[in-house]
Amino acid sequence: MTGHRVTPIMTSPASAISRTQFRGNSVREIALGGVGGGGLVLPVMAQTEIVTPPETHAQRAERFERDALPYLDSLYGAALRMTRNPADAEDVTQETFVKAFAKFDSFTEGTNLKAWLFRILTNTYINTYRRKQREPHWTHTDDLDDWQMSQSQAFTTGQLRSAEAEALDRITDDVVIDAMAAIPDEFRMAVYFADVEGFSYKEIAEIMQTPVGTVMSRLHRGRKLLRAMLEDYAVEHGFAAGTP
Amino acid sequence: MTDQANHPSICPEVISGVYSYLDNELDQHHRERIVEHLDACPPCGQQYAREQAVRALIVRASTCSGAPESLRVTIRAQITTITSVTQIQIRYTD
Repeated sequence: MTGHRVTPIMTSPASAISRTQFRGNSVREIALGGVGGGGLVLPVMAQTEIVTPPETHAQRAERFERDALPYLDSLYGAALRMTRNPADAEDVTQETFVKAFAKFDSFTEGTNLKAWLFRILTNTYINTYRRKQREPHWTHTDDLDDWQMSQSQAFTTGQLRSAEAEALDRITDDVVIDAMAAIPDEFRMAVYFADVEGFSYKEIAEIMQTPVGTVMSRLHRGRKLLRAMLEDYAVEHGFAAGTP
Repeated sequence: MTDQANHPSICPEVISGVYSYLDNELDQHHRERIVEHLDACPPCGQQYAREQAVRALIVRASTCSGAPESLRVTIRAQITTITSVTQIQIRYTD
């Protein structure tokens, strides 16, 4: 514990000389320096500077627990959607917090801590966990031309009337979770960040380290896929009125 | 806006606005314009209802009861361990 410390700045010429001479191991010169400087110039100790003490490890741990740990539930919830099983979600969340704590001194207080934590979570999942999985979930289909093309078709395929849209309510959570698990990772994560966590496009762009246009494309395409799957399910299971 | 009452399909130029509206990314002026359009154009209004319904399902299904208490305990213990190990290392190197 270094605590709060006031560092005195030695401005006395006498003490400056003394210190230099002490290094030379000359007792006589120290005495001379003391006498030479001491006659008229008294050591001036009034000029001090309050130095902000560096945060101790214990203080940082305390700040981390106070500010970052409250996001545990949110991060675990997201990890659960990313990994799709509780044991892996716990591992990813734990690793995220350990990493976040290790670099917590580089986090600028007052900036977006939640987005910062989600960014570490996303990187942890992509770099550590998903690499182990070796599953071809990652798709590189982010080009905007594709998105622009899909915009013109987006709303023309659905046949459900608004009353039938209400039939979607009858779909159970398990079916929704399966549908989410079936779409590409980047789409699922973008949709989750926007719909469940309420992050803005700009925040999602920071979290996923991609341009805002790519975020919008991922959201658009992820939602389109989800909607198609869920509406198909509703029709197949006769939830939607007026369908065979 | 009643001229659009018999519009056969949704309006492509409105689509991205509908998403931005749902995502709360529009300023007041654009928000009002979208709301007006959705009220006046049944195909777009229905599309909006579908988008909203899917979103509600995703939110409902994603509601997590929270992280297990054991995970919270483990993370706190790890932070404490890292903190004390770092302090011991500093003491040795001093």
